[in-house]
Amino acid sequence: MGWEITLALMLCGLGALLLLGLPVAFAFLVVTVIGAWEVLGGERGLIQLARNAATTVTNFQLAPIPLFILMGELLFHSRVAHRAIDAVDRVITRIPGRLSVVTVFGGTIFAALSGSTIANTAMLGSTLLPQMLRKGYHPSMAMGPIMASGAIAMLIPPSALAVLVGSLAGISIAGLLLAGVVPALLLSVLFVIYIVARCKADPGLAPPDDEPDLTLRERWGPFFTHVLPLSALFAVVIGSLLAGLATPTESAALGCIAALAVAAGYRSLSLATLGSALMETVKLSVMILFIIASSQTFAQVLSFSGATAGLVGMIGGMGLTPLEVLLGMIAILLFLGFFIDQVSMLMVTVPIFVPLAAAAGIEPLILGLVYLLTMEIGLLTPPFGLLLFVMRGVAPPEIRMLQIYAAVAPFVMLKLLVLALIVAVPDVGTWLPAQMAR
Amino acid sequence: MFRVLTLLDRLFDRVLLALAWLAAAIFAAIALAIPVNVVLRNGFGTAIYGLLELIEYGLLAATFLAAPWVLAKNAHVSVDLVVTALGPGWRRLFEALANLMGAAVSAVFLWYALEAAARSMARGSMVRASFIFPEWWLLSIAPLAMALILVEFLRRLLRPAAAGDRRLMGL
Amino acid sequence: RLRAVSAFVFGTVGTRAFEPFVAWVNENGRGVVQIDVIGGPEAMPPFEAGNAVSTGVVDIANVTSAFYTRLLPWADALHLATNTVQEQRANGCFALMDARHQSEMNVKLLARTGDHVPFHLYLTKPISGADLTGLTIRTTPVYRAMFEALGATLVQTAPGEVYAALERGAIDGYGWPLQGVLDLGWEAHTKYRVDPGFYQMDVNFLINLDTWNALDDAQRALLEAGARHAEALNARNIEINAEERRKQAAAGIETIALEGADAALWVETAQREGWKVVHTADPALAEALAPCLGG
Ligand code: NA
Ligand code: NA
Repeated sequence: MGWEITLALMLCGLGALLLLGLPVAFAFLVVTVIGAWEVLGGERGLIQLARNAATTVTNFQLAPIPLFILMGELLFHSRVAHRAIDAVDRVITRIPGRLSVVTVFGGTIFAALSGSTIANTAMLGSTLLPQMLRKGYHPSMAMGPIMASGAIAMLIPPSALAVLVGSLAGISIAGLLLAGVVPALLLSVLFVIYIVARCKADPGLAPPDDEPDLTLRERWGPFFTHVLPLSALFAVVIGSLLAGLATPTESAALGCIAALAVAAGYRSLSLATLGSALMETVKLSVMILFIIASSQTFAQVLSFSGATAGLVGMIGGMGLTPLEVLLGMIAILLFLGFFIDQVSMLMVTVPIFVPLAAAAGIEPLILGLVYLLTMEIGLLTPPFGLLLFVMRGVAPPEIRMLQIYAAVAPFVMLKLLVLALIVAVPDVGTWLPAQMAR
Repeated sequence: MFRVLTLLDRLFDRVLLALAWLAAAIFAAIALAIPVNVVLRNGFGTAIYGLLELIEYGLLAATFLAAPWVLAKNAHVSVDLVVTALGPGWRRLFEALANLMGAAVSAVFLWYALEAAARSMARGSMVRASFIFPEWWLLSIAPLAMALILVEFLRRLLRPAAAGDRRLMGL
Repeated sequence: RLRAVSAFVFGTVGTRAFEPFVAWVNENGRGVVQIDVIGGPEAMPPFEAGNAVSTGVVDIANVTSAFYTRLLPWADALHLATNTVQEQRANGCFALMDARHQSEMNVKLLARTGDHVPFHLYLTKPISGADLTGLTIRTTPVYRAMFEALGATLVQTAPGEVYAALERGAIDGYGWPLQGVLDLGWEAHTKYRVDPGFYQMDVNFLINLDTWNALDDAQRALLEAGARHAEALNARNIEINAEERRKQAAAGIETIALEGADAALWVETAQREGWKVVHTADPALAEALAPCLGG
């Protein structure tokens, strides 16, 4: 069988199973089992597949995933995060689409405290979404900013995925963590501009709410008590890394301990809180790790069939300029992002893209940023977009999946815009890491 | 007869929950052991022996052992694009089909994962890294999980989830 | 057509002999036998390459013995060799190891490459003798016993975290072959290489035994000839080593050359501790292999 047919069959089969409603991990497993029978050779192939599936999660590089999720869940269940959002809510006034803007600011702040886009989106969704819907916000103006700024968590350190990209692609992890900061802030600014412009043009999207008159102290007090102290968390995670006390995974674990200390400091830590934070961590991490186990074996079977190399070889064989190579990579990553998870996107492409980029003279940090942004976009594109599922999970039942897609679409466009900007003006990404080196 | 089934049903839920707590304990242990190791290394010039490998085995165990509970909680993500757009009759059919596929694939995987563990045991393969132990210890985790997942899929087939139950919980 | 996987990424040190081998066989074996390269670690996890070739999921694997000690406990002996594979073929050692690969792992040891490429300790801080006390070293099973005997604090660091750990000083050094450090980018945060090196890299071509038995004489002869061709390329490593030392120096890695008693202690400790591990796994075979592997 030619690789084109294998590729088409595997992707179509996967798509059909997903639409049937089979959980994603098991949809991958069905296609992988059939593919392995065909490609790896019958029974012994399936035995090998079972061994490989266990091997994929026996991997230390995945340790930051539960750790960063735990950190976010601790802040979430101890309500430290909610109080921080409330505090942000008080200081942002008199602006069209106020709560959507609060979402973006809150999401950006929380992104600097949590390495999990999922925890970030869930936190924003469960705190701000009910409020916005109650006040008559249009669902798209309520959900779009939540998903869009929830996704920023992987661009601003701490970031489980940036660590993974740096690890797998051999890019300086500290450099990549810093490289994401400027594009992320740029995204936040663009989101705010978009929200304000849209809401000004169409006030029906976000009815102005009556803000109580607060004194300066009432307005800013909570900000100083509930937001600023959280910068200590940021300092622990990034500081321990920069000071050479810890490796990236270790800084994630230190972040958990610091989150625990912060929650205790606010006297909002109980055994029940700790228990629910841990069980939510299990639910989310195991869901992700199980998908990683099945989608990585899927990627292995795909590689084994020659489909991966065939696809990339096709692009590589076109004699392209460095810019065209970069654009080609972006196209492939965006395409893969529709169907597979972030880790699989990495695993499938890194072995080919890294040498390809080196040969074309593409700056490693730019490649890393391209990965981060395309992966971030992949979180938001159907049919397989983790944050879309998270949104589905926290939204009221009457919200349809199509509404969720529609809500996030304009923000995906803004992300594409920033991606284009990084390609056109690499300094946007490389400036901050260059400051560190000096 | 019905009472026995209910009892078994509850017992099964207990087993799944216990395994989920085991995974929680593993993650908590990882979150604690790593900082301890940082302190030992920076302050005392020593380290926890074989920590990296222990964490890797922990990730393996947590992922597979808690997966059946995550399934029972409906927390494995799925695409409900089509399913939610269908009428109740078609939806039940799709759900039954999905559960059947799930049961079938976990049965197949269970069989070959067992085979992998059994062959490793038969040839006496030992893991030789920081710790030396039989490889089948690692290889039996996946079949154990798959057996529970198979039972869970079958349980769903026999007792279809009520409407609205498909919602992702707790994410 | 034979299907091959590599436990190493293509275009790196680990495939430096395998790629010419495949090219040679495909060039000279037209109409006789051809090798299809399926892929590297992205297609088969490195630690599963041994199992895959043992069960026949693939026909040929390019893999180092450290990746298949689960199947062949004594395989650590391969990197302890101090002589060349040509000498091992002449003195019967290769035949003995091949026989044990066949009986214990259902594979034929087709070729051994990587001769002359030693392992070295790379550091971010200088040392003055064969004493690693107070240094935090990233280790793998290959040299764990040796570094431990020399007093180092051993830590395990995932390959992807070594760069960051070096960059930020969380580890003071790591063991690695002479060749390949520059491929990983680790040279940016490596200041010293300790000479002399120890052990020899072993990258082996394994072929599934059932596949091998099903081949006809012409096909076997061709693969054997390809294997000799690849093994003959081992001699090139001496030149590549010199070039590698030059490149490392140009990248700012200084050489710490241990001398006299320190150098002797260094190498002796490496061999003694290495053989202890093999002895634990298979005492009789360790006795048989030690003399003919030059040790
Ligand atoms: Na973050
Ligand atoms: Na997507």
